[in-house]
Amino acid sequence: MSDPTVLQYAPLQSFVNPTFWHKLSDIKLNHDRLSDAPKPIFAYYTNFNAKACLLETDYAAFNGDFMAPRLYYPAVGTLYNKNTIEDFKACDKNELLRLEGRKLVDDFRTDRVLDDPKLLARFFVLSFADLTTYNYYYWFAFPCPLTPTLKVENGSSPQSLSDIPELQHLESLLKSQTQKPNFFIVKSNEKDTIYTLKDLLATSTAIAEQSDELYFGFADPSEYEHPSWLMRVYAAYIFYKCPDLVGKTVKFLGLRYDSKNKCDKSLVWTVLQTEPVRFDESTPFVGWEPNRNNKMGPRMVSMRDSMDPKILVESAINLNLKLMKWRLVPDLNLDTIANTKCLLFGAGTLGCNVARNLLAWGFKHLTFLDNGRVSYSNPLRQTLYTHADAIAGNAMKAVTAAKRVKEINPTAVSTGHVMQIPMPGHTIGASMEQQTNEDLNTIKSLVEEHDAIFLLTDSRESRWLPTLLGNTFQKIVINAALGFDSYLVMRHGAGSPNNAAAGDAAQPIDVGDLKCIGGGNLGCYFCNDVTAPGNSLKDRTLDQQCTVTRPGVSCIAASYAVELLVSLLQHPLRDHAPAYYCANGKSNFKEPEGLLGVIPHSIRGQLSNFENILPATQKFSQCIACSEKIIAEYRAQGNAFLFKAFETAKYLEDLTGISDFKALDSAIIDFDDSDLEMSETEDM
Amino acid sequence: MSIVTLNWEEFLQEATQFQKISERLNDSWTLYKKDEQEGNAYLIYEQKIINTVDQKSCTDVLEDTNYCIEDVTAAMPPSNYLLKIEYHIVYSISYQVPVLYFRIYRNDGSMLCIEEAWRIFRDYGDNASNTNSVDVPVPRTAADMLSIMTQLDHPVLGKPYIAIHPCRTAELLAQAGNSRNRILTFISLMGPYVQLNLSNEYGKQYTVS
Repeated sequence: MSDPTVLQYAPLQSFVNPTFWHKLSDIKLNHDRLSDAPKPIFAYYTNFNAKACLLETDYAAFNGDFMAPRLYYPAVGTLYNKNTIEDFKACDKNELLRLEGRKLVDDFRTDRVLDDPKLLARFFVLSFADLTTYNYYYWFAFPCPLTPTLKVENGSSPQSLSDIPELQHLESLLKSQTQKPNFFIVKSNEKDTIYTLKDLLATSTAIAEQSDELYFGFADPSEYEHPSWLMRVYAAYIFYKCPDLVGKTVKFLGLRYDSKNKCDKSLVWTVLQTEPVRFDESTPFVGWEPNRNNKMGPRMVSMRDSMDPKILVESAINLNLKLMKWRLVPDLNLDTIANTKCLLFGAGTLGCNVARNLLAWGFKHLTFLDNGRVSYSNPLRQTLYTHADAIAGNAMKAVTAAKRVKEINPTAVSTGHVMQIPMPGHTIGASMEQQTNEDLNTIKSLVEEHDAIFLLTDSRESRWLPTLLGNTFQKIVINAALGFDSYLVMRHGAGSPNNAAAGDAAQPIDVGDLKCIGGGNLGCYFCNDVTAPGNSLKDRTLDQQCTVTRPGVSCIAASYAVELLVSLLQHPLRDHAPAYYCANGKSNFKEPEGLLGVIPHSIRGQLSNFENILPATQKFSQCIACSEKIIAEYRAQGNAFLFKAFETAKYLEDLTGISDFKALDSAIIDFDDSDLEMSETEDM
Repeated sequence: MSIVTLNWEEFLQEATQFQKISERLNDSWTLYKKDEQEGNAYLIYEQKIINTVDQKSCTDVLEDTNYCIEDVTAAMPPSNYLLKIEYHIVYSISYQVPVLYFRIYRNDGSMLCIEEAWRIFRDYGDNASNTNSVDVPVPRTAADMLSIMTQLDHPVLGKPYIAIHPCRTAELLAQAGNSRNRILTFISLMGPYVQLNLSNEYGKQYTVS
């Protein structure tokens, strides 16, 4: 298939700098808009330590006064950027190549190439920029008339410049040139001159007589044995311009510099053109660049990763997290965090601060449930709101919070649901029954759709329903509650599947005097109480209802809540991870740790002495929120069961049997944690 | 532990000097100055390397079989086998040392991510440490070096680049002993791990004079 006597060329290969696409998008958006008129553009190539056979281009391609970078030569081109993919596909590629080819031949005919030899380094690009997806379709072509092939004289190997004694002066001669020539002619018998094409070809007399002495030089970007495609265009011009050279041996010098800036690896091809080179209407052209599979066709590049602001912001946002992973905690699983969907009950002080900490950790799916409006007093502590939200007709907290989350991280998925959480002891009137039923179904499906539930509401009884649902659907439940200068942050015991026995399959293992409680046997917020949640908002003065807390308490508790979730997520057992406690003060044994350290059951702390304690407590078999009886009853009756509980909290006490407990001896069984009595937060 | 740091004036002066050497050697380092502010100038170098991360074949969405002119004179070289690396030597104001930033892209302009960059340099670095062109003992293995290769925001361009984290640079420079151009020393030390090899001529510029 390849005839050894026919000279072959190394086709030019396009190499596009990302900045080219940036500039093209910019011009299309701000300048061209709907115009798809051809645009002059530039590219460049080098013969200094050249790799492959490249034609490169970047953002400067669009400059009117294009200057090739140092050690590079300019190439002249046209950009045909289409408006639609259909236009791009429908464009007659043969016709376009012919059009561009004729422009080239025209430059031959009018001798424009003599004044400006870079016109020989020719290309054009057909493109379509899909600015919504950052996909760029493009096809480079290096047009050249299909001229009769050049024959290689005696064998096919080109000669190395170092083997040609009569050109030994060339290196130093070229060094003296400030501007390295792209196309030039040297004569073996004139050691001190480098001729431009114009010098010798403008009046093309007697060129043929001197053909033995002449070397047609060109900067050759090819690293291969074959000369670059540029020579093909060059030769077509030379034999067209000087028909007398047809039938004579002609020498072409492909000038190439190595990394040491020596040009002795340059190659000389001695060739013979046997047929005249003429151009007419029927002259075919070649030069489309094959795609990556070496087939005829355009290429497509997706620049989303480096151009889409959403992706960019994501990678920027993740930078700190990735640094943490790369440098401090290599096993940190950031994907788990990004994929964990969080449902926040309450969008007040705690809700806002928890959301901000979740965002900081790279959580991307945050749903808020709250029925409050932003009031004038809120923005100071509720960090997702501003004064304007309060002025603007009391914006709904849940919706505003979701909006802010997306403003902070545009890649976040966040929605707000304006909804009251039905509570035990808060009787539902007949008129509200249907609405409550719908709300219960919504809350149920929200819990089912999420992975982690945060209880951040302002009352004890509003935590009952989410506690029950979280346990039923085996979600991770994190609970935070505030006192004036104290806080409680805890994880609820892991729920067990419908038909499995309560507790963990794995036997908890004590470590020395450290007692171990399996994740499934840990208590919930209600396990330590012997009363069902009644209406705690009743008979309270304003300062009791709206918690007066030291401002830092909410921030501290919110941070602990999120960090506790992250620690859990990084543990192989997740919410089944055990917790440890020491019955008699400080233990001498080291508590087993997860990837990020110990994972307590609860954190109780106060600002009065800046101290935390980490108690772990067992699940209470008669708990009014997470005991088997309750869960089973809910599974059996669904919303009907819930309505009974809303009717009167006593129902739950009777069901679980704690009413008996209370009757037994209320003096001894005092689970009331008076130091840490949660008056809870003002919001929700 | 001794350390070597540079103030901004020293960085700029030695970077300028380094660029002059490059020009004298006909190498292609350039010094880009955004403005006169501290930290806003850096050295740039580009080179092409073999693409060892991508599969040879890939799908191109639109094939155009309509177009085909028999052309016997085009030799078919391998396509898509080169990558371009753009290196920046930037000044770190907080660490007071030069920092090597770079990005790598394919011939279609798409960028390599850090994991792909790791793969490119992982094997290469081991050889590089043996054939280090400057006579300075490199105290770390290639794996160590790559472990401090991270993504960082380019301080001048504000875009994420891959960088060799500057936390150890001052120590490394100290171990390299007295240097008349710390930029040159820095590139000679760090460069080989990311296929950035200076020619020995650079060293000679100082030993001769």
